[in-house]
Amino acid sequence: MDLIDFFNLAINAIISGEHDLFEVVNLSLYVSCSAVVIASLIGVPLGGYLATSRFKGRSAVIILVNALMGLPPVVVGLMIYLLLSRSGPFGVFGLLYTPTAMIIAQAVLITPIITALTRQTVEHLSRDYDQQLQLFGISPMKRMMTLIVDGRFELVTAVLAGLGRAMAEVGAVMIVGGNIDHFTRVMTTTITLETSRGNLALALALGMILIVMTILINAAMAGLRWWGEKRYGHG
Amino acid sequence: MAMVDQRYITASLEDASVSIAGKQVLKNISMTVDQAEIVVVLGENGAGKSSLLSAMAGLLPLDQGKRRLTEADGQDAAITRVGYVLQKPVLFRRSIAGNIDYAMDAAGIDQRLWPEYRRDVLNLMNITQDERRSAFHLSQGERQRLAVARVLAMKPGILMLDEASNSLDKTTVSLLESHVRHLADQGMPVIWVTHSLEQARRIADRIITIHDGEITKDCRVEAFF
Repeated sequence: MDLIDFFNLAINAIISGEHDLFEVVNLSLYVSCSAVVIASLIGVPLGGYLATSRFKGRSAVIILVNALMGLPPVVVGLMIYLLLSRSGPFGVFGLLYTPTAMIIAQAVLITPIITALTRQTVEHLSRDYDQQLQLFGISPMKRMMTLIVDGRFELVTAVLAGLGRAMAEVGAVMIVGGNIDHFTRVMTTTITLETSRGNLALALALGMILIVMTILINAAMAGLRWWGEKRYGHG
Repeated sequence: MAMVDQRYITASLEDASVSIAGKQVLKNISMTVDQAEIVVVLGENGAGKSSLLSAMAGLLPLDQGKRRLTEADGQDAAITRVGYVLQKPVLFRRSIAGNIDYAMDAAGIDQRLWPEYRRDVLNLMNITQDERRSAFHLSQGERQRLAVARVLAMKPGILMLDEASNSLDKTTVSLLESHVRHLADQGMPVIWVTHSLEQARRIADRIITIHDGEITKDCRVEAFF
């Protein structure tokens, strides 16, 4: 079989929805989107705080957060595995090899990305707003909220970067999810498995879906940002 | 029109010096702005006019000397009592109304009064666009007018205008000048930094000239011209 044949088989697999293709796609979306929501709830305020506050050791924290953006997924997977395994401190919750464990792993991976990008965005905006906000005599908390609200369309990029990383992640979810059929199998782990089995058509089909979804999500976010900047501009 | 807050503040600097990035931009400045007077600050570019205004408002820390913003009852005034229009005003990425509401919120104005105050200042500054529109779409002159409107909506105790009429057309400058005169006549102290001698002649009660960070002249307008 040549490449064209594989593509034809892949497209047939997508059209017929064989191998519970859409179950895998749905779980991928559920895990990645949940992780992004959790990471945003932590990362956006944390990034805003780092951008607007001054405290001893702030530079060290910023360097650490930037460094954590490059966290190796398998190491994160291993750490979460150790924490959630029966003998680990959170073993009692029985989360290992569940979608929840995969969400936790992905959230740990992308929180530094969203935090670091939020800090950059808010700090940049803060330079423009600094004097005006000083004149309004507002509290540090309100200052942070103002900058986050006014930087909302740039922050879409931060969230998007997190989502991209989450969707493409395989190492950590494989370790903590276990790639269990009909339970923790997501697109990336299925692609890995089916490729190793030689079922390249299915792997390719999922790869195509993953790429199309990534493009669509990026386009939607870019559209939102474009609309926001057109409407509200850069101040 | 519910434009005038009767509580005004006075601003003073006493032997104040200010440095920015190691360079002294104000040297031993002493001055007081009293109620019901418009003080125009004149000087060439880089003379220290904007720094003087920033130092008075509390935007710049003093190397030495004292700064006082004082309420009529002798209490220290908060910075939100200073209606300061920056040379390059920053509008928030919100609607026209959103920008004004933000300022009124910061000034602690009763939310029930916001619509009335907003209408007043928009009318006053001749901003006729739909207030729900983004401030981003305003022209340069309209943005400047909105910046002034936003400050007036805060019901400040003192007005500090840093080249506030630079981007305005003649009609709006005239409206702004007459309104500021009206406020000053009610008791509002005003400091207005400008390049224009003509504007100084039209509006000033007192003129201060500044050169290389030092006050070189401080006199009544009649004595200046």
